Amino acid sequence: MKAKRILALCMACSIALAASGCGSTGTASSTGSAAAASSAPASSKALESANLVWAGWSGEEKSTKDIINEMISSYNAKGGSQVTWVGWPWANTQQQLIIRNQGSEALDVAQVDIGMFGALSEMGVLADMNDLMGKDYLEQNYNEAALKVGQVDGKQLAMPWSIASINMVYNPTLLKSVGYSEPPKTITQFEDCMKKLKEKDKNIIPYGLATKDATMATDFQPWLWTFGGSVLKDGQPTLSSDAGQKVAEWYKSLLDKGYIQMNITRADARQLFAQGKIAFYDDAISAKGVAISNGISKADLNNKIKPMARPVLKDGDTPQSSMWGHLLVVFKKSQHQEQAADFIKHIVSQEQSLKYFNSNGMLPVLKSALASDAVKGDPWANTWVQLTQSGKALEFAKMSNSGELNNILVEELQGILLGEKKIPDALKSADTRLSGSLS
Amino acid sequence: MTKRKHRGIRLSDGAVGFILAAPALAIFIAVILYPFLNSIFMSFTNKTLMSPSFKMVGLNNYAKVFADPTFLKTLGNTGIFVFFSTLCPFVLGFIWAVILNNKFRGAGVLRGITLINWIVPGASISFLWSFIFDYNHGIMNELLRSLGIITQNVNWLGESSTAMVVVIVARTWQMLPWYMAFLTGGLQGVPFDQIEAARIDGANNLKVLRHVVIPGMKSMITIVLVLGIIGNLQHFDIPQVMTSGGPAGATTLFSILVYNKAFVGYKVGMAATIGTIWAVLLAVFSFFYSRSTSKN
Repeated sequence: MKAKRILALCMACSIALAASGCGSTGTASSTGSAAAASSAPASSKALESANLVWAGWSGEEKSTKDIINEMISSYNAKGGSQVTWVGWPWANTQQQLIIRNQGSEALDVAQVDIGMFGALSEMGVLADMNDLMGKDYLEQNYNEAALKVGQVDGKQLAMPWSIASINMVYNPTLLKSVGYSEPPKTITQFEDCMKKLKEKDKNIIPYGLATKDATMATDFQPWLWTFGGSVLKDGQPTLSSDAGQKVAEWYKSLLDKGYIQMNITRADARQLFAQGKIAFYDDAISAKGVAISNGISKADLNNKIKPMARPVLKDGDTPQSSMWGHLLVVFKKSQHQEQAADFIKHIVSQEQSLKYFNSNGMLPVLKSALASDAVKGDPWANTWVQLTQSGKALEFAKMSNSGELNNILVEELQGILLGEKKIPDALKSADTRLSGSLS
Repeated sequence: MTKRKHRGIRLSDGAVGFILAAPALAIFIAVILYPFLNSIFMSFTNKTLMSPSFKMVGLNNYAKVFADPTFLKTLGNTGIFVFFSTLCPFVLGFIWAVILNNKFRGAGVLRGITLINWIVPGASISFLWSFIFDYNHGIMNELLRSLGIITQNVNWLGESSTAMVVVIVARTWQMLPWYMAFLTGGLQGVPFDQIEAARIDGANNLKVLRHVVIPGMKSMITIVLVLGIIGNLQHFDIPQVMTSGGPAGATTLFSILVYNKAFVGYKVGMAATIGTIWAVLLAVFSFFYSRSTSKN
């Protein structure tokens, strides 16, 4: 009888172990056999052909898939190294890159965004572009501000590909219908505009503010800055401040009045905006390309989507925006770092970056491309360049567990919006939880 | 010619048994035991995905987990999800199995069609039900409005009170065929002469079900329920795709919490701690399952 019980217990444990999926994470070295980086720039000598793997998310998205394939095809057609694409949705890219760098997956080049760069640089898996491309070449051809985005402790760990900021876009036709020929400049005007839009059509969501996923946390920060607050001060969470309280009350009032909606992601906002059901939302410079892929005709773009500065609390304040950008990195574990750097030069070259710009409005970083007529004569790009001047880095951007910190912020903000928590309690809880995760 | 006498090695029955079991044992150690023990070990470390090095932190992770209010909330969410996601498809699957067990024309076809839900991947089911319950375009709001049940659209996935309901509905839809298939097998195992005898004694349908069918299926029902509970305790894809555990953590289950710790915060040590607690919970139900199968 006893033996039977022991047997049953053992069986139970085995089933539980198998079912719970408590897999090993292993303790293997993350660096692998890194190829020694040559100090010579990639272009200064003939390179042996290699098979390269380029990872990211843009090759998976409808609005950019074709141009990414074209960039790869044009490089492969040169007859040298051959590039293949490996992609995931944007939300999974960071974790995939981290996991694959812990293992032995072949990865040479990756597209990362500013928010992902912090974690990867902290892991110590990125090669120094100064060694691969030559510091002089980089300084001569790229803006210092753009290069700085990819620098850590004097090393150029990422190559800027497109740098701008997250701003708001609006539907000029909808705004005109309620008497706004120009976008609102202050929060008072913004609220008035949203009120009029809601009164005109109760099915309209005036502002497609992200209320789901990490985007909710990243969209929240520029509003917090607008109200004079910050998530962190001297490394400590400060959401319980007066500014935090005010912006949380404002958020709640927007939901109560029906100006924003729960369960809205960036993708939802983009689609509803293209359908004319959202008047404002936050997006990157690529919003124009996304709008086209979501059904807005090129001829109708000026009537349907325009960038705008985020409304300010009072006249004279600086409109806030969070820095955004795509970077290109080469991994230390790549056996073909120089070929990878050569491929990056191809992607950011004037010809390719202008093609990219024309396809979806992504700003180039190469000085000569930025100075081209194509960029200078584009009102969309010029407005965005101006708006980017006051852009600030998101406060969790350089933290390796930024995803976890964003999740905490999102949970507490959702608790406020749904009325599950009193605002001071939620903000205090957010501070405590953030503090615990930061330590 | 001299005959060479071959002297083989004599092995005891125990040794032969061990040799025969050795390959399976080696696989068990490599695939289950080592990862599990390693996971328990990791739960006492501050291991992250960011670095290969780590330190022992004793019981710190466990203390942090139990002190975290989100853990208790997750425990409650998991309890609610497991209870209703087991009970609802079980009851509906049982009713459907009883209906299909009547030998009417087309019962076999209907049984086959029902199984489709179970074949469809979880992610597809999640998208399907997300579209149905979508606030702006979903047919559920449209249907309820046309029936006059609601006057304003309900944000099913955006409200804490309804998000879990929608997730459970989707899971019920997915698992109903699984319960139906098992319970149909159980129903067919109930001796028909006992049902006939009960009817002759004047028992109505309900009494036959209560006093003959259910006792006759007791072991099958126990196994199905325990397996259902285990499956729901480890369930991940539907709530993750539909709500990512939100809003405000209202649908965060153990599986999502472990995923977030390991692959969003990259804190493998903490994830292993929650995983170990989770495994203990699973072991309780697995014990009941093993006991009920060994009894039968």
